[in-house]
Amino acid sequence: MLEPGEQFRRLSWTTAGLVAALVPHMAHLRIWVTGFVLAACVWRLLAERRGWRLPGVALRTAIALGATAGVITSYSTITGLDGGTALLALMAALKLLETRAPRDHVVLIFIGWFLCLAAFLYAQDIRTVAFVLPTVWLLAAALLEVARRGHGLAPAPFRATGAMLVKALPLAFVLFLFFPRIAGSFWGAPSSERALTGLTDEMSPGDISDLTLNDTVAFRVRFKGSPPPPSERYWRGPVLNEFDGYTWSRGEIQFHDRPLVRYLGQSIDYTVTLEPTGQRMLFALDMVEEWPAAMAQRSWDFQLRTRNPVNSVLQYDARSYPRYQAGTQNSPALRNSNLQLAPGRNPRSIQLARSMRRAAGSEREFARSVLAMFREQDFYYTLAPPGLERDSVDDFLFNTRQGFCGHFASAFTMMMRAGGVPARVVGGYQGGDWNPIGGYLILRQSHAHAWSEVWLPDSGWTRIDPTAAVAPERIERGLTAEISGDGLREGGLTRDGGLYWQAGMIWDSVNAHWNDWVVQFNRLQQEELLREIGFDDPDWQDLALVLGVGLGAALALLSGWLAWEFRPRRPDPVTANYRRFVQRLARRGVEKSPHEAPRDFAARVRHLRPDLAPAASAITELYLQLRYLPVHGARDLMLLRALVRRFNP
Amino acid sequence: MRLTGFLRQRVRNWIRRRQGPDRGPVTLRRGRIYILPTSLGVAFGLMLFAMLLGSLNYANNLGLGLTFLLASLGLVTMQACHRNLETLIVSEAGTESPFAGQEAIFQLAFSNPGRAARCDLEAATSVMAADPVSIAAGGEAAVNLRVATRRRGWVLLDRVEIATRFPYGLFRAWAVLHPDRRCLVYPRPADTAPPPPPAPGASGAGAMRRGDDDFAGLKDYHPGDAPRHIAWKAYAKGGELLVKEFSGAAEPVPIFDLAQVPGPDLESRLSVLARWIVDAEARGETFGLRLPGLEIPPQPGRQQRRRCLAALAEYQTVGPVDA
Repeated sequence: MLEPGEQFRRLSWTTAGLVAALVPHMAHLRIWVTGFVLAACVWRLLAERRGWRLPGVALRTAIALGATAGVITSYSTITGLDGGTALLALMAALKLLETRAPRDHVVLIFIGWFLCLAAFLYAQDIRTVAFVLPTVWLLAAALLEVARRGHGLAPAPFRATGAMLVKALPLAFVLFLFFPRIAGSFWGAPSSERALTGLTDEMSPGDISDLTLNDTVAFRVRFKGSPPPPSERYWRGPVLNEFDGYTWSRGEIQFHDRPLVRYLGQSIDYTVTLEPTGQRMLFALDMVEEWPAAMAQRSWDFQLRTRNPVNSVLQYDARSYPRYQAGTQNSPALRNSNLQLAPGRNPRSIQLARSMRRAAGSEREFARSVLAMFREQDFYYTLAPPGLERDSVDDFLFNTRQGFCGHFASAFTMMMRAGGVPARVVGGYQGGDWNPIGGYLILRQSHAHAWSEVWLPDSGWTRIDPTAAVAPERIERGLTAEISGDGLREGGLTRDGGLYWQAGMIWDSVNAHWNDWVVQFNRLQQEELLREIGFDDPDWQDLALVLGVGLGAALALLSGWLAWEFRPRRPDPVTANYRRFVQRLARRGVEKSPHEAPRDFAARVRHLRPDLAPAASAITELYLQLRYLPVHGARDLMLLRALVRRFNP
Repeated sequence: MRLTGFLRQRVRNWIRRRQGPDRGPVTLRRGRIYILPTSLGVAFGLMLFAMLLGSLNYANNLGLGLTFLLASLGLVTMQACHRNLETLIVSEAGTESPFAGQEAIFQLAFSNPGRAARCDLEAATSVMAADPVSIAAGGEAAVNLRVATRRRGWVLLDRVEIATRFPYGLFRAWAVLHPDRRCLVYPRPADTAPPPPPAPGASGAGAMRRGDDDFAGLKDYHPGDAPRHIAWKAYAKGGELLVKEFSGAAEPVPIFDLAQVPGPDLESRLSVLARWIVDAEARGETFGLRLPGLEIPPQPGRQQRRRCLAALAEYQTVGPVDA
């Protein structure tokens, strides 16, 4: 039976591991879940200290039912990632309330490890790993503490576990590299859309200016050749077709037609590593020609749409043509869907647009005249525009006249529609920070942008960026240069030069490599690796072979390591000398049996070889003295050594 | 249940055949250490499998990495568990004969010749287990295997398992020893016994008591001879241990005779004899023992007590009882 102090120790270890496993989830768990789990931990420890009674079956059942009901109410499911994690955490808390036996501790530790796994389903960045790895270690140390049986000589749990984890690393590394990855999944990937910062399928005035202060990386792009100039870096995201007078949205009506695209000029090949967006879209340069068909489809408005929300880092290759002709043979239905106006809203703007259209000779000229209006009249480009009324375009065009890319795109697109030109708002990212250390382009949330796409009879869908008319520097040099005068983003990461900037770029390229080599490590990279090793056409059998050989080598290394740790001690000089004496006698046929005490052996020697008796007795007595008497000098040892050396039967 | 019992017996017999009996200190080598996952280890494996499926399903490399790290940790603990036993030296350290009803103690000595400590080593027979012990590098530890006894006679320690679950309890490594050690259980001294019959005087069959009065000569030393009778001078000269013998006036000494003990059955009569022997030795008296077909001449001392009790214990016993 365990002493009370011992039980408390174990509980402390297990609870500490559990709380650490919970920390990465605190950001997304409902506050009552976190609160309940922490309260249960504190209560259980106090109960152990103070000798309180643990709750009975009835109370525990009630709490379990209440917790499940709470999860269903808060998350409306118990199977999704969020709901499942919450339920797991709550069950751990419940288990803690009845924890007595080692078996209960083990269940808690296992739940802790599952929480660690769940943390990786939420985020796979370096910071998460840096936190979760010590947690895994802590939980393993707790298991060591729980599994302890004897008293005394207990190894320090944290250190002993650390030593074992270090020994486990080579094996884990081999498994990670060569364990076959499957394509696809056994059951549905989590499909819940998560609230992450970034572009969505909706845009209201002011949405994008919220993003401009956010330095979070949206995606990184590596180009096969040289990157396109900043003015061509338009990364198409959500295309917004529907307007209610205030908010643009993707729209209910979707078409199955796929308008023809003619690609012109040079292609650009690149690889995008997309951070989780929680949305069903990929970003690509206009106009994308090739993309992984298994991942996404190109919709009628040239968006790359995925079947499931992108909830983990995703990497894809794509090819785009900056020059193209899209949808010149557009069906009228497709065109007309982009002429819709919110009935009865923004009447002044519509009137203005119609008169401008009448004055212009062609659609193209009409567009130019609207851009000229933005440029020549007192419209201001600002990060902090005033709020807009319900008829947002009227309010913007005739009152505030201050806006961000979203305002200009919104007003321009609506005016085009009012003038009978099919038009839509395109959201996405524009520009990017070049990372000279890693040689890739970083697109941050602050690069979020909105522009307009109009359909012209001669060139099809054509991009027009009204922001460029008002603030061309925004497009050419990026946002920072444009607005740093406002003092809003003084010294941000995106400013060139400086130690801070360099450190930021180095850290970003570490993250990019992490994404490329760890998070995105997949079958293709495995094959690449096998080719490097020397397999010409690697298949799964080669993979199994390499995995087997690698594991064998790692295991051999491990057992060699352990054998070295457990290697026999060198005998102390006293024993060594006595052993030499015994060996010399053995050569003369007088063998000491292992259980024979030295004096008994000496007596036997006396009997069998009376001639050796004096020396044997002397050596034996001296040996016993050195061995068992508390005090003896160095001279005795020298004497023993000399006696044994001279003992040559 | 019966099937597992049968299988277990088969495995035990197979192990016995391949290892043979053990005499003297045994070093636990690779060939005699067996290892299997415990139920906790199986649960751990199932957990890893669930983690693997989840990580593969979500194509989550870090989840896979975590799964592989834990799986490797499991493999490391398997090796560590095996290593915890390997090269351990187990030797027999002695037995202590009890009276029937007390515990027989088989003592084992573990010694750790390696440079790393070994933790939580357990020794067990099929019915009982000793407390787990840990041994520092180069250290030794004694383990007492206590066996409850009910009847006099031989108790056999025929099979000992040395096992460990260290470090995580995921695996259990064990080695089997067949030491073929016996321990004699003496009959329990009767709680109440009639006084022994008086010695049959000078005319009786009692042997001459060797007294302390007159020096009679020297004889070879045997363990149990009184140290004060050792001829130290002779030892100093010749180096051989001799014992001085004396003869004194003949004095009647008791010989406890089974035939003279009243009692309902053999066991209770043996118990009475045991009581007489224990009491006589405690008083420092000289005594002898006569059983049908066996006579132990009178002697004083601990050695005599042991000899007589052993004779009682072995008298008309069947085979040894398995501990």
